[in-house]
Amino acid sequence: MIKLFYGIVITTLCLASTLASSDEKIIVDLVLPAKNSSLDSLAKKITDNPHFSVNTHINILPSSDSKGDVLIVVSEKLFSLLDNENYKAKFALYVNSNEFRQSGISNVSALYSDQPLLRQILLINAIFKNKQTQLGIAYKDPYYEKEFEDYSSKFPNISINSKKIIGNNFVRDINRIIQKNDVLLSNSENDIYNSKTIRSILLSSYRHQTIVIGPNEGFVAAGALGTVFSTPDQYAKKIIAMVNSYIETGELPDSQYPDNFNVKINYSVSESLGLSIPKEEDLKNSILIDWIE
Amino acid sequence: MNQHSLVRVFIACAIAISLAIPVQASIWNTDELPVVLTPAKLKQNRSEVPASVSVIDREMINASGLKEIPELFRLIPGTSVGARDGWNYVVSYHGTNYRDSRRMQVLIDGRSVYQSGLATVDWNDIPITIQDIERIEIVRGPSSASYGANAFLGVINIITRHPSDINKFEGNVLSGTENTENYRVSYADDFLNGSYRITLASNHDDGFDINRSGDERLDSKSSQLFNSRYETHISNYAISIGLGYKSGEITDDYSDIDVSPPNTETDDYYFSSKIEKEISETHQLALKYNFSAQKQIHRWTVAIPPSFAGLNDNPSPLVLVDANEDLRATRQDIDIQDTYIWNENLRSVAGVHLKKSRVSSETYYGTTLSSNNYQIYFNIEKKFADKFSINTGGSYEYEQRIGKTFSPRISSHYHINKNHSLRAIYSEAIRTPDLLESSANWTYTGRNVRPAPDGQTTGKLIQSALGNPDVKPERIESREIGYYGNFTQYHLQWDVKIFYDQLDRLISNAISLERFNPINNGNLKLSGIETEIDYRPNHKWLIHASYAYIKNKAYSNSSLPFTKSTEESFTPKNSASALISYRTNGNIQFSLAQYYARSIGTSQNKFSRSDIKVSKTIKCQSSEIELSYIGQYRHDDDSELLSDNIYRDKLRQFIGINFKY
Repeated sequence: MIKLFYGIVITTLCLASTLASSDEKIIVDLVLPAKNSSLDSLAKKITDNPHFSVNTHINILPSSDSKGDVLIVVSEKLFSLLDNENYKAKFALYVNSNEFRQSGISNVSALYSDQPLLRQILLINAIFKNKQTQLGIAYKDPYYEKEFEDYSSKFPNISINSKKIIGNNFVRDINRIIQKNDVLLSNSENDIYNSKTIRSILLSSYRHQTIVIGPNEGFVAAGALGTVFSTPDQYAKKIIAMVNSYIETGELPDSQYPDNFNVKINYSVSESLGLSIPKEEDLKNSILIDWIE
Repeated sequence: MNQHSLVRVFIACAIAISLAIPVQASIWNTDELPVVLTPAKLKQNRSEVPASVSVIDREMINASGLKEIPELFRLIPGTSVGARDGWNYVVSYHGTNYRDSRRMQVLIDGRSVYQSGLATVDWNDIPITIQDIERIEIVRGPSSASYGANAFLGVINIITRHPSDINKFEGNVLSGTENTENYRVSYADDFLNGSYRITLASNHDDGFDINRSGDERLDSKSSQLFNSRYETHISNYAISIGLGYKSGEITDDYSDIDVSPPNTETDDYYFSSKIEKEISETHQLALKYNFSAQKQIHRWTVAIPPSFAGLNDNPSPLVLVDANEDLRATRQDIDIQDTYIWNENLRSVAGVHLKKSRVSSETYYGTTLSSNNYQIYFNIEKKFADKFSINTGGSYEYEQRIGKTFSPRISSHYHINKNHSLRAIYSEAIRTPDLLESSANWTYTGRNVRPAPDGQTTGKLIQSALGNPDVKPERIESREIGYYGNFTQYHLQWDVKIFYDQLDRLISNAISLERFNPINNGNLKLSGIETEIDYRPNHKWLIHASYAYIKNKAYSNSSLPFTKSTEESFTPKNSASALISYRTNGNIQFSLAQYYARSIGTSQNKFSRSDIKVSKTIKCQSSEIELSYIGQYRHDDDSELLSDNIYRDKLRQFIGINFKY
């Protein structure tokens, strides 16, 4: 009798599990470029969502028998993993927009690590409070030229002096831009702005009292005046929304910049340069108002 | 390691760690960027600087059209500029004695060019060109507490152009009145993870035209120079090296006894080096070593009665004698400076400076003399709340001839906000007597006497002078209150100060063989007000104006002879300058400058001059050519500083071509 009872219970449980599996969650493989506390925290934030399950991997894809439905790779360092065709949808999280464009990767939705130039220009506008400002930009990718044209008409108080950089010996060109402008807006081209060039660029900007708006927080910590950036929490929420959108519509969303952002200012630098900069929260609100307008 | 050091290391680590943690951590930590502008590297905001500071930047230098470095200081309030000869400029904040630039410390990239052997700054022998200068910071007030003895009235800190900031090739040509011919080429490039700049230049002009009698002046200058600068970063070390050489020749007017041109050839060399080590973001150590040398060859022939040279057996009424004022001087400086940010409210700068000077001249000293100077200095800035800060510092020095001296400075700031502050400063400073004043053994040895029927071909001039070993350092006590405001929304800066200076133990007498008497017999009171405005609403406009009113009273507490005018004639009661420049969209720049001082010089002169510069820049791909016209018009008929300094024409004109690639 007891054996019969156990048999009924086990059969019931098996049926229940079979029924449950018919409402199975989408499984997302999240591949991180390294193991560290920041990335672990990001993975945890993405995992804690009600819409899909997340399996986290470091640097490599799971074996084919345990792979999920959707792939998210973090950073452009893992672009090579996006070649795998065995996923229904692929996302690239926290990738440099410039490198992503130039990689030619298709059928992948990217959430960019950098911020739109427009948002950084709005930050400059908020710092200078609509005063006449000469803005210098160095670039290599011709993609930016159209953007500069658009912004020149949108911001009559900002005079944009852009210079296309040719070749690799460009620090002298950037120094010239620094000397002739109030602000150097550094974009997300890693070829130009990287750990090898940052020292001479920032020291030159400091010599000439030219402020630098950096492409990310690292530049601000290094000595740039400020930047617009998004936090890991904002990235996690956005990528969850993008994957969820795919789950609901079956369509891959467009590659995009994060919606939400914060402002970071290096107040030690601003004080040394004699600049009065509003609070970060006020600058963010000012950007949001201008963005909406 | 003692307990104090342990505490210091612990605090440094705690601050470094707290600063190193970003407010919002990066998503991953694999590509860290170096922290370039660390708290220890950042300069104080000008509203916090414990002194009155003026800045001449590259834009002002370009707009002014000036070709002589000393003339730039006409733009600085309260700064007297004059030329004793075409090649001998004197620059002095608040003027005082016009005889030498002896009461100002002058630094080029941190290297002092003050010749302590002769207590002077020879502006003609500085191996840089005006185009090499990026910026000049002028500390208007005694600064011995930071810069040591001889930063008596103020400090001029010239910063040359960084090799990374200039074009690869630059060429400059300037030609104009008084046979001015200046040529310069420079080349800059990258080398071994750093960058370097090399400048070669040749300059010539004829100096003043005529003296008060209408006779032609002989005060031309010609020079060829080379200078270079190399900057690099290796790990946490910033390394800077400079090398330079200048060879120059000046002509001089004949005196009554001269029969051959009393010209002087001078060679100057320097080597400078600086290593900065970032021990942490809040702790920086800098080591400097500088060497400079000067060789002056000044030989000529005079005709004198033989008795003047002690040749009493020579029957000739006059004999020809070869005389010289040859001189060799060297200077070496070692400086170790420690900058430490204890917390956001406490910052300290402390250091040790060793200086060795050596001078050799048969005529002036009869031998080789040397002096060593040892200095310990410190400066502490403490902020109390947001509104109030105190900065205190001092310099303790020892020199064998002089003994021990201490020069303190204390200042307090009331910060109306971050860009507006009121300041009150009290400072003391000294100027140490030079080796000539304290140790001269001055007489001329006449050689190659001719005719010499008695066979005696060498004689010593009977007139001689000895230095005064008891002469004391000159001393100044300065008090000022001031306001500095940076109206960032208008791009306007305004500085105003009221001051009262008491100068004592001044060594005022002329340094000449006939009247050589170096004694501390002068006293001077200086008081007044000065102001400066810099307004740059956008990149097209530059407006800079300054004004100073100075009341001076020279007197002597001693019974020894004292000439008041010696300490008063180089301090104009009213002086002003204005520089206005506008650049059109078509790259044409118009600049107008006006300089005014009265009265200045030995004849209570007026100096009023308008300068105009018009330039057109033509850009072609990555190169630029600038064509410029510069005119300088004197409105008054007075001589410049001394009564023999006269240009024939009121208008002096120059044409310049600058090329950059």
